[in-house]
Amino acid sequence: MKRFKALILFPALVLLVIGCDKPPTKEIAAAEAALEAASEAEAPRYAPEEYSSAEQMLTQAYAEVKEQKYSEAKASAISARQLAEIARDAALKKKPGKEEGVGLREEEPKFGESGFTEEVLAGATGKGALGEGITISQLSTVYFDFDEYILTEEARETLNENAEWLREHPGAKIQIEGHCDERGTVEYNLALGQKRAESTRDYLVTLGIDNKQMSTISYGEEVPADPDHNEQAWVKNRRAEFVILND
Amino acid sequence: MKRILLFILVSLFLLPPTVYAAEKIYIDIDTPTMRRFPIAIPEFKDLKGGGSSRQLRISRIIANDLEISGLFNILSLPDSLGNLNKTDLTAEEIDFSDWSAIGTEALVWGGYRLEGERLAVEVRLFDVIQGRQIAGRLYQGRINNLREIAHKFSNEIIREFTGKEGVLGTKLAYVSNATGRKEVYLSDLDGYNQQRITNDATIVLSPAWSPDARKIVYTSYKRRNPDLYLLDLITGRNSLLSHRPGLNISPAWSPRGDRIAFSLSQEGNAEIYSMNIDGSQLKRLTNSWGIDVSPTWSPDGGKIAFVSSRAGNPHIYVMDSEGKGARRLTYEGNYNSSPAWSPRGDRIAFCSRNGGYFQIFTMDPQGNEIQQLTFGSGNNEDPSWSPDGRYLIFSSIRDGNSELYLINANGSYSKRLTRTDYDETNPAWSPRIQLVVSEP
Repeated sequence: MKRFKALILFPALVLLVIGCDKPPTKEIAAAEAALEAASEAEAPRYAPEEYSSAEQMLTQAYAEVKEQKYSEAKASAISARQLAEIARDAALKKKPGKEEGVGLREEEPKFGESGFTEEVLAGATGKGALGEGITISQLSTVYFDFDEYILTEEARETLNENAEWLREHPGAKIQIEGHCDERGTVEYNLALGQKRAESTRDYLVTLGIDNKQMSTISYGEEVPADPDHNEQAWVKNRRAEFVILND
Repeated sequence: MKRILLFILVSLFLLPPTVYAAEKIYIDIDTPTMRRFPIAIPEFKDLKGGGSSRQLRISRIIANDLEISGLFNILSLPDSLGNLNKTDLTAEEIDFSDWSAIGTEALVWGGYRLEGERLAVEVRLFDVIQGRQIAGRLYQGRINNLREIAHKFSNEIIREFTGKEGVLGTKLAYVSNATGRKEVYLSDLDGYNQQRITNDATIVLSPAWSPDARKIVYTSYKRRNPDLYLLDLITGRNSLLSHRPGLNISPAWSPRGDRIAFSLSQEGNAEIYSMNIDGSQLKRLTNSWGIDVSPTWSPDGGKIAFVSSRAGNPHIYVMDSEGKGARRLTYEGNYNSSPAWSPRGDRIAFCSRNGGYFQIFTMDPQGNEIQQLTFGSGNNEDPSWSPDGRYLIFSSIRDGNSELYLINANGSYSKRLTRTDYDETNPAWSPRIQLVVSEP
């Protein structure tokens, strides 16, 4: 809670919001750095699958920049960075002589672990999970770490932007949908999705958004944004989405 | 549709008293090195003479049942034995040396008579080595009782060999996305009689059986919120059981049938509650800052095991059924969930993330003697016990999409049960089902 208050005290942060009419140079640089770190950790040898999916994701980001699809490129670059971090961690775990230090930890790398932060942009699909009574959402999706419902630095920045829109549209009623990746139990994930929706709502309330403007629902692991069964899909599926309800 | 309970006549006959006295256990099911018992099951004879209009493949249903049990080696038969013309099925008429010559130690042989809709089936089980009958039954019913009759004798065979009746003829409830949406389905354990029992065209999850196997409670998003519904399988009546703000999920029926434990998030965080089956007398059982879901009752109804993230990660806990004395059971790993208490009471199955994949484990109710049942890549999830506590069913993506698999309680035998292009998940094994047949 202290951190939430701290954020309110520094509205300057909110002004850092960057549009997506420019190539995501910062994110791409971060992804490149993360890939380099993975390479140094001998990920190509000890975690070849993870490493090559990170490489592919970065290649995809380059291609999207060429096609001037900057927001897609940004999402790809962020995924590439996360995948590279996963590859690095996996390599460090498997590398001979390194096992003891890492132990049996199965946690995923934390967002922003590498000492920089960035906002994740919308995967806004413009549709509710069940496709009902929906307009195109102006609100960006926020993403979570594995088995976590605590908002990351990136998620809070995204919510700061969303709060701006909500302040400008006080009549809008929104539903916050909590989602999980497919790993784990259906029932536990329903509860986790609910927690994600509620932590998202609670943060918006601390930014002064009226509780009555918002409702929450959990879809657990039932409505993935990306139906694939790999890390690339999972990072996109651990999320809270915003649906604007037509009243 | 009016239905009544059991009218099938099951008559014991031709069983000399000495057979009862000589009862022995042929198969020790709990031995990990258990040998599959060789058994022969030739086609059943049409006893009507002159040829019935239909040939009934009763022996194949029984052979498939015994195959599913994992206890038998069903021998393929040479033509000379596979198609016997004898119509007298008693021990005196059988040349057991013909049968021991092919290596079998047991023989199931029967005949049937079908007149119009009326069906009579005579079945006998023989010990080939000792040259004597172990069990004999005459079943009379209707043609639509055919599979139930076969399952009933399969269970009898298993009882004779292991000392405990089999679970063939029980049903599975599970979720499938065959229609493109998740709905609840029922099927017999052998995969027959599959039927979809929900038609909500949204997301339907977590079916749970009543102890009398007549009702199913489940979660559906039909009213745009995860709510609990109760479906009466006999009357077809469907009712809304819990529709509170937020989650109404993970139902589990108490062994006595009077209460349902489940999770609600109406106070902002998933907590376990119990209520009467009409929704009355709601009682909150947990109170923690973490997630509390997936309750499972001990068979005496005195305790509830459940999942809680109160220590940070999901782990299995146990408390008494009034919510007192919660105690943590699992300490290994950082993701333990889906507890299922064995109907025998001695083990709790659960799912644990191990080496990146979810695997099925069991432990005793104190959290000790942990045993891993599944291995390898591909997640194995959602264990549910057979009513005799000898098997578990679970879902796995080991072969690509999610399908249902059977495994015995010590993990030494497993078998894939479904084979579809869709995802089958959330299996729930029915309690033993009283034979329900149409009124004659």
